[in-house]
Amino acid sequence: MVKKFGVQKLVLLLFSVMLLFGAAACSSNNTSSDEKESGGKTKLTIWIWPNMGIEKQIEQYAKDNNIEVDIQTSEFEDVHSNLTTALAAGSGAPDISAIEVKGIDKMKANPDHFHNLLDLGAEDVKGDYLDWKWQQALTADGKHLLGLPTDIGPQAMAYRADVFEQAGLPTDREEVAALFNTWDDYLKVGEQIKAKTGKALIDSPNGAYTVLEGQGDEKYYDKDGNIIVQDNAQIKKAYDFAMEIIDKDLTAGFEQFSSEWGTGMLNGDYATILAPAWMMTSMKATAPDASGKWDMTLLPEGSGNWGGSFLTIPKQSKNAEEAYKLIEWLLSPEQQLVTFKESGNFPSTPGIYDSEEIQSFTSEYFNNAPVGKIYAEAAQNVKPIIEGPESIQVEQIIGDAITRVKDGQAKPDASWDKAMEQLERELAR
Amino acid sequence: MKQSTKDHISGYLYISPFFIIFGVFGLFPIIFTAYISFHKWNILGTKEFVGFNNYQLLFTDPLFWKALGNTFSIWFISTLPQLFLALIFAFILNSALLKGKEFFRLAVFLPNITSVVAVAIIFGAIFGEHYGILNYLLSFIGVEPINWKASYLGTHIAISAMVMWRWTGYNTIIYLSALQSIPKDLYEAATIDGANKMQQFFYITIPMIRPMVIFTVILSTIGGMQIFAEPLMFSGNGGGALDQGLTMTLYLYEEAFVRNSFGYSSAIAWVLFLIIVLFSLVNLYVTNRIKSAE
Repeated sequence: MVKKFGVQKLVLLLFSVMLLFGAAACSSNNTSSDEKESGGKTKLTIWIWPNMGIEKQIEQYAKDNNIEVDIQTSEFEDVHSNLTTALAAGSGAPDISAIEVKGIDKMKANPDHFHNLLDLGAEDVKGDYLDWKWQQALTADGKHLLGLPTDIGPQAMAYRADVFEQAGLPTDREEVAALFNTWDDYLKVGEQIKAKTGKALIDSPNGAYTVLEGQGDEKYYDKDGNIIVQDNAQIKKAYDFAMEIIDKDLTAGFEQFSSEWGTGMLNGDYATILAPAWMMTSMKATAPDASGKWDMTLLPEGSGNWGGSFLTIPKQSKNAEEAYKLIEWLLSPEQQLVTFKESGNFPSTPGIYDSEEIQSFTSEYFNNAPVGKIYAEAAQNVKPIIEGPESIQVEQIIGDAITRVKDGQAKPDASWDKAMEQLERELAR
Repeated sequence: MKQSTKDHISGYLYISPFFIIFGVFGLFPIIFTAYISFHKWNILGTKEFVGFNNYQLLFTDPLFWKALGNTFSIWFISTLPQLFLALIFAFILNSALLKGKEFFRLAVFLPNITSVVAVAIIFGAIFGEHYGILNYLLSFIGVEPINWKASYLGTHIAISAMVMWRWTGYNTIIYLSALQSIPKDLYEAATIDGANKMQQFFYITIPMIRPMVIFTVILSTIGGMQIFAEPLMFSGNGGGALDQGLTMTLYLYEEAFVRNSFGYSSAIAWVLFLIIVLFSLVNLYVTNRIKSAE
């Protein structure tokens, strides 16, 4: 009897284990976003990456509106690939996810995976945002809006006043800006810095490339979605400029966002960084001890946009209306102003560019430069740019071409040809 | 129900957890990968059947061949010195002269439990061009700073260094256990017969630990073919400007999660699997040949 009872119990136990596995496999369909009733509160899961500067406001909103939020931060690339995987799997996507400007184009090919924000009332706030930025999240037929814009990336130039002084150059913001009317002037100043101090003009030629390509009217795609990398004169100009920097030995040769880049930033190994607004946060995080050593002024030949993101609501979210309320509040001009002050990410709402609060905003890290005023002016100079579905790939291929030349592994023309071959091959797939 | 039937059922139930888990997490993904590899699929859109197209593309893809070459190069640079070093360490740890054996045994194994990402970050700093400690040390003997990350050889050496740092201790422990399982009588008998230390090493020690050597070679082969985190952290996305750090698994990852070509990536996964099988068989053949040549 005892033995029999033992076997039965065991069989029962094993069956329950199997059932548990079965149940776990089935229930994965609905574990994701609809954890609606946790103590009667709506719970919103939010995916962002570090330095977006919006965590505190989200938490404040949750407190004020009696909802629960679960903010999950992962690395920039991971947010995008996790989201893609979750959308494909049909489960696991958050209620709100950040998507970067180059990622949103890919998602626009499959708008059905996202709630249409126009249906949730986004039309009412359209006027608050920059039109070109708004268009980036809108499908070609203009009927489906995937996300509301967070920040934009207008560009300016951070420079080391101490290095300029050593080189016998003016250090005052206005006077520095007057030194650079064209990119050629910029190179000339670089040669003087090199000759007098032995230091480099710029952290990386790749940074210069990205800035210059952003100053044109078009980038990799024309408005009909055709690839125009080969024919776009602005890209040629940006590439050639990067080559000139390398040829004249004006680059410090750092890889941007590497740890050595940060040490160089602290030590003043390079005199300038061409910096979109969000770079301010990045610099503060990378080289906090360099506070007060950097200063800020405008770029030669206009500005350009680098980066900037959107907040989207994946279709899997069961709390779309609550989620929309949150992002509408969070991305309103007033709250974007708070974000800007907190982190330096520049608002996508032009209505506040002339406000006293932006115009008078200074940053201690940048030697009390009026960064609000500088980036507001840069933002007015940003030309609307079309990103395309494979922008990230194109950018990487050309970036590699520049790095090859920088590392002395290839000649400029050969490296460019190789990049174009690679591009053709990858896009054909 | 008869008691014997019940016993049979309970027997199968005992072993069922493995098969259930293997079926869900092992077999299904393998079969699904094979199925996907015949499609063009970016996981958000619909699958489009393309037959053997992905495989055809693969064999004419220069990046694939480059990744294959890099993987073998890194495997070769890391495995040979690693196993050789491990053998030496094992001898030292096994020798009667060494004091504080427990401490050294632990110390030699410790790197193995370090997070591979942490290892890659630290080694990335060591091999840095501008502020790397290695270039700093080299500057004392008059060597100009080397941009390790920019060349094939530099990158392969750096990645191999990480592999060696992490796995030498692991192999040492395996060799050590093999050494300790050799009966002392054999050495005593040999000493009485007049064999010197060198002869004892070649005629007793080496033959006795050969099975363990084969085991470590096979393990290092499989591990080496799958190397991923180190090149990703060291060379960044895409394995660097020259694709100098692009390994097979990194290429697979890039295709799937950066470029969203899941069909192509699945094809890579299957080819990688076949290469590992083939390479392991070659290894087995060679090591067996050495054995029978005795």
